[in-house]
Amino acid sequence: MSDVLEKKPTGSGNLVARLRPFTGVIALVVLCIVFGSRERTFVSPENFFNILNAMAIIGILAVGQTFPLIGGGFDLSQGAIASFSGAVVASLLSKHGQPIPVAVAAGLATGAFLGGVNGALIAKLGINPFVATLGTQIAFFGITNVYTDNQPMSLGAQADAFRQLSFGHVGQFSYASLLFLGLVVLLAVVLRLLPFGQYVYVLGGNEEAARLAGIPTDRIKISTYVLSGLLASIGGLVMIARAGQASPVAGVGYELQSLASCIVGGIALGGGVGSAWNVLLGAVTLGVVDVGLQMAVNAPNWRPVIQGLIILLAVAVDARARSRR
Amino acid sequence: MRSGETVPGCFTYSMSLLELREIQKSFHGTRVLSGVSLDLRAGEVHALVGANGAGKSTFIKILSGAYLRDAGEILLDGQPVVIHSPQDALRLGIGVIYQEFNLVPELSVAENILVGQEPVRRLGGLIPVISRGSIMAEARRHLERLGFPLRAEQPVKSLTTGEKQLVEIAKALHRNARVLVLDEPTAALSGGEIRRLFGIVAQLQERGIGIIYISHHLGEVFEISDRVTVLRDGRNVATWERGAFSETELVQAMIGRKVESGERPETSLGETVLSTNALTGSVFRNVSLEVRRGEILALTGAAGAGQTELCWALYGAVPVRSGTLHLQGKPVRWRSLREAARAGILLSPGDRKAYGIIPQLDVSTNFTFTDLTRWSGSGMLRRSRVRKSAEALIAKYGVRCTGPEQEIASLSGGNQQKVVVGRVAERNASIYLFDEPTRGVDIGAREDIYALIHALAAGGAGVIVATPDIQEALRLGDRVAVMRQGEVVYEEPIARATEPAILAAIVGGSE
Repeated sequence: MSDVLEKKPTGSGNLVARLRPFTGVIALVVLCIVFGSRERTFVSPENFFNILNAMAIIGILAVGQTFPLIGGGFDLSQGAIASFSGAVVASLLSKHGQPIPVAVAAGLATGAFLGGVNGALIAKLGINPFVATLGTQIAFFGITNVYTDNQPMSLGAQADAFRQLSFGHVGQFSYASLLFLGLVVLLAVVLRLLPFGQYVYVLGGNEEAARLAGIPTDRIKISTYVLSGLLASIGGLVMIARAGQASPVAGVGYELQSLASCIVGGIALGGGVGSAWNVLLGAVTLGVVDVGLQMAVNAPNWRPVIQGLIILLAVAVDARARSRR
Repeated sequence: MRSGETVPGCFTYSMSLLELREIQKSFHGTRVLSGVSLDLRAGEVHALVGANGAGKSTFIKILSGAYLRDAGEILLDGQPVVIHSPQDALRLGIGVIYQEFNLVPELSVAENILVGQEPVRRLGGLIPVISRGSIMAEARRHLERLGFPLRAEQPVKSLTTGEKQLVEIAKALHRNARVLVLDEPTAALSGGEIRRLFGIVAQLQERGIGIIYISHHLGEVFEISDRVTVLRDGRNVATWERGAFSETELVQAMIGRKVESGERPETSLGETVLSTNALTGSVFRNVSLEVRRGEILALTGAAGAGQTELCWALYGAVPVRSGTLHLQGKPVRWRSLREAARAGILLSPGDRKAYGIIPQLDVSTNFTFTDLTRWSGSGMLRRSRVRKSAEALIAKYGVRCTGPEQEIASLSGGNQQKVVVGRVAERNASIYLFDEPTRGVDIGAREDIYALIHALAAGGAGVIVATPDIQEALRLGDRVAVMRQGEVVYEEPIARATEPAILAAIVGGSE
């Protein structure tokens, strides 16, 4: 009936169709070539590890963002959760003299809990994810300010040991980048192998179908936000390790970057689609853009503009590719 | 073994598989079901018919667990059961295939069939792990057993409507459904797919599955049902065995009044108002048609043959590749839809969910939004005028709703369709294009829409009606044309058009 719109794929454009799954990688390669031509040292092993390390925090957040995203929502409060968790860890380390494992555990628990708050607002009260996580973003940043009394908080006596998280290395890989890569692998396992992962896809693909099939949609939804918050808090740990302190202004805008990372990597905003590979690709692409612009573009004010344009282009190409199905 | 037959030596006891007794339901004080009953035997196809708003949807939703009944009982195998949620219904073996499928488009056929029931291994006895290989294997086995021509790994979004329906049926059967409810299953299917569905229904009957079949297509009801129950205004009107009723009796029971014999008022045809010459778009080719004032051209054919795209192209909504279009003698090439509407050509779109209604807005807005200047004064929209007009329009088109402020999404499909058609019919045009104007509309309302279309033609406009329903085409058209694979392969004035010829034209030579 809708013969107008059910355009079955014709013979032409086969090359485009076959290249489509690789557009992300092609784009990445193109970017590397462009930056490499402006600044030779861009395409070097040191720089590769440098990039991986630079985007590790956003990458970790992006791993977390994947869950609500595939489930059909998204989490705008990740930056705030990272910031607050960092503050909790810092205060436990410095003010309360707790050993590192205890402080870390508290930080992670905080992230999971705040994620749970998001989940409850969205699943139980039916508030849409944009409004809910925007609201919690503001609230959580506010709580961070209260908690830190608007002052940066030091990491106390164990600062050096803790900061190894950011500065420690295994070979050329920093701990932070290894953590990111490890989490990407874990993400792949959860999405592909665990029933929970499959349910997230079903939830995002057609929530009504999930409900009717007996899948506990509320529980799954809340879980996706708990995971997003948990991973945000892990990102927060790396944040304070890198900065040497917990700052109330740290983490601002990180959730947008983590979202951009996922979407540039190929995860659809509408949900139901996406994989760990997308997260890796997207995070690396954004890292390349970020570092590349720093190295190749001298005017610092233009960098965000170009960065934004690249992201828009990536999303637009992906949207065109999708609509041509 | 079909219901009613006896096996020698066995004591057969014609117990109902499923029985719903005196089901009552009210919404916000309005009585929707006043004690409706239905019983279903194993292996039976029991049709449920009734006009839009008669209560069929509500009744089925109570059975499927989407709604909670206010009063009445549900018995399965003679035992009372409690259905408080969709999961309860699934567990009891009641499967419902709705018109809007509940499939996950991005996932494969296999994943959809097994959704919620994925086979799981326990790693180390503890960690549940989905075995994707098992999902595919199990789905393939299941599809083979059913004989469905589907590939387990195919993503559902790439399937045709008919194939998606098969996935839904396979899904229900995988959950060991003993009762299957089919809600308007043929609405979006092609002729071949309909026949395939009927074959599958027969198969299911042989397995002892009871089927409740809801349809507006009375021809189908006659063909496959063992019994028919008619509902009207939330009550049982009649239940008949196969062969015990005629079409007229059925229709009368449904609408409660005599059906008009469908006489066409005499109209004299005027000059040619629309003509195309070798018009070619991306789906249709080489279309040369003419419509005169006062004439109704009925365009029919299989889904995808190009009728919809032709209408869209005439309206200027999709580009035309070559050929000419003349409106009232002057050649036209639309640069914008506004141009088309101003020039006097209007389209009532077929897929109302996608193009016809604005679901979040109310009935009043949906009736009027295309032409708000009519209700404006000094550049400002006069809502009181809109309201009054909306009330009049609701009455004129017989839209069953609680009032102009009701959100249109909560109206039944047929009533939504009346709003879509009415909205277009209210405006002045020299050519009206109706794409599937009676989709989802029941018999009584259909007649009203036919009368409306006749009135528009009598008023001097030219009308093109695209419809997959041959009966409707024969009923409405002064001329009938058939499209197949983008070309007009048949065109005859109504006096010479015959159903076999039309069918042959639709299906084509070697089918």
